[in-house]
Amino acid sequence: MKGGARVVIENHRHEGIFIARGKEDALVTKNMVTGESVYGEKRISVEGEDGTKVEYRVWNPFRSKLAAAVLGGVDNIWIKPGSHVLYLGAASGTTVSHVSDIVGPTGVVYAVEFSHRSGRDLVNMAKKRTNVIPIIEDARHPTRYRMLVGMVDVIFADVAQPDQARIVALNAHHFLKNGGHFVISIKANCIDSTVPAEAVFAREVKKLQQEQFKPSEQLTLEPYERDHACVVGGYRMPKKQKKDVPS
Amino acid sequence: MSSFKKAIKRRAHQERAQPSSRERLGLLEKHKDYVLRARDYNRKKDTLRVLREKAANRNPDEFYFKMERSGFRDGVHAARVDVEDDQRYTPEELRLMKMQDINYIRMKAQVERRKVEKIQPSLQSIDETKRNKHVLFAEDVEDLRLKAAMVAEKKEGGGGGEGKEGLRRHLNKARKAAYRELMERKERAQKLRMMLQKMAMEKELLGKGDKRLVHVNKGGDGNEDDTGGQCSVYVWKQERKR
Ligand SMILES: C[S@@+](CC[C@H](N)C(=O)[O-])C[C@H]1O[C@@H](n2cnc3c(N)ncnc32)[C@H](O)[C@@H]1O
Repeated sequence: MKGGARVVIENHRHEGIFIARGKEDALVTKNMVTGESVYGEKRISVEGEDGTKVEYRVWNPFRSKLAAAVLGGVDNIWIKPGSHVLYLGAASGTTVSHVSDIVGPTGVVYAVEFSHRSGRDLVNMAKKRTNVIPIIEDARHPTRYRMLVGMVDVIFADVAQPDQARIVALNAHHFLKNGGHFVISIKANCIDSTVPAEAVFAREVKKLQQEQFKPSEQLTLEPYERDHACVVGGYRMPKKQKKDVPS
Repeated sequence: MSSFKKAIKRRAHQERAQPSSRERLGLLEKHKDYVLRARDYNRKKDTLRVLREKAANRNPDEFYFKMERSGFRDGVHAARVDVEDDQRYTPEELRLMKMQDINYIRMKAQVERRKVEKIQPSLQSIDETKRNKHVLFAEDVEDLRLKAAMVAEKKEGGGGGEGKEGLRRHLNKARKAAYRELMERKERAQKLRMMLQKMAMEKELLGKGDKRLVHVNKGGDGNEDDTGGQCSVYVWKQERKR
């Protein structure tokens, strides 16, 4: 091979996520659909030891809050190969495509989005990714899509609505298994633009705690987003446990 | 046979250098340097001779109409002394030319911005310390201490030094170059944007309407190659349209 490899792929601390090092210095996920980009992101092809080609897609933290959280050093996103994920507020599927890469063929992503316009892109994306199930419905009415969604391990929410906590709670009651986890992104402006962001986050955390959620960490998404926070935690966690987070 | 002779490596002859005692005279002049210098000297000498002859043979009665408009400006002969340089174009023409310059700069700024947009996403400064705020929730102090230690430990242990040494160095170099390129492009894009603003302002100043300077900005006096500060501020007089 001439000139040697131009890029090497390392494992990230979070399973299913990788780091490309070379001319790039970026989070990447293993592309489920080789040869295709979803939103114009860069693809990196790497030859493995046995000569097979593996393709990775660069995960842009400016376009995806989950990527921003991972870069920001979130302790656990609970989304890993094989996970069943309910994704609320999927928009055109930018982040969903990466989540789909992470959970891989053995996992499932239920992507809920109520805007038909964004939904169209989402559905087109899902046609190529068999582990994504697009649902064009209002996340405030989980009963409307309860036939489509099974029990899930993780709920990810990025709906940018003032009643986000309630929406997440409603969905969790229907679909999230006991001891499952949630990851939500909070945009302070969308909830209350009259008080400081910190206060909004604290209030949202309080609301979540009232709904049987047990937040374990919260981190802001600088420098990628301003006044955004990502809150992670568990749901109906079993009482009295010694040490969680085996890793 | 002779071609074989040529193929044999011959001794390389080195040029003689200026002796150190004559170093103050600069590099040692070689014959081919001398030829050039002599040719130049003679050409100038001939030119002067021709001009002197012409002056001597001048006919004081000779007249061309062009002489009416030409003369000396700052001690130098100029074809037209009756027009100042910047009056050669009408304000409309000047405005049009400015417009073309602006369009060119705008195009360049856009190219730069696109490039940044293209490389920015894959340069994520993964190993840099984070600037965000991380809060951990815990039941009690003991729990918190445990969690904090665990998180810190995990954050540390990322980004391996595995892989071959040579390859690693090679990749590091490529990455550094990429970061440098990104920074330079960002800077250039910023400069172009400033320049564009200034040029747009100049164009407006050439346009219609009464205006008044309200704030002078020292850094940006409208010089095109100065991209430091901001533009000065002008206010246009309100004008009734109908
Ligand atoms: C900030 S965007 C999500 C971006 C996406 N997570 C990503 O990173 O690519 C929020 C999306 O949530 C959708 N949304 C808002 N309220 C919703 C609701 N009640 N049910 C479903 N989707 C909703 C909006 O249409 C919008 O597309």
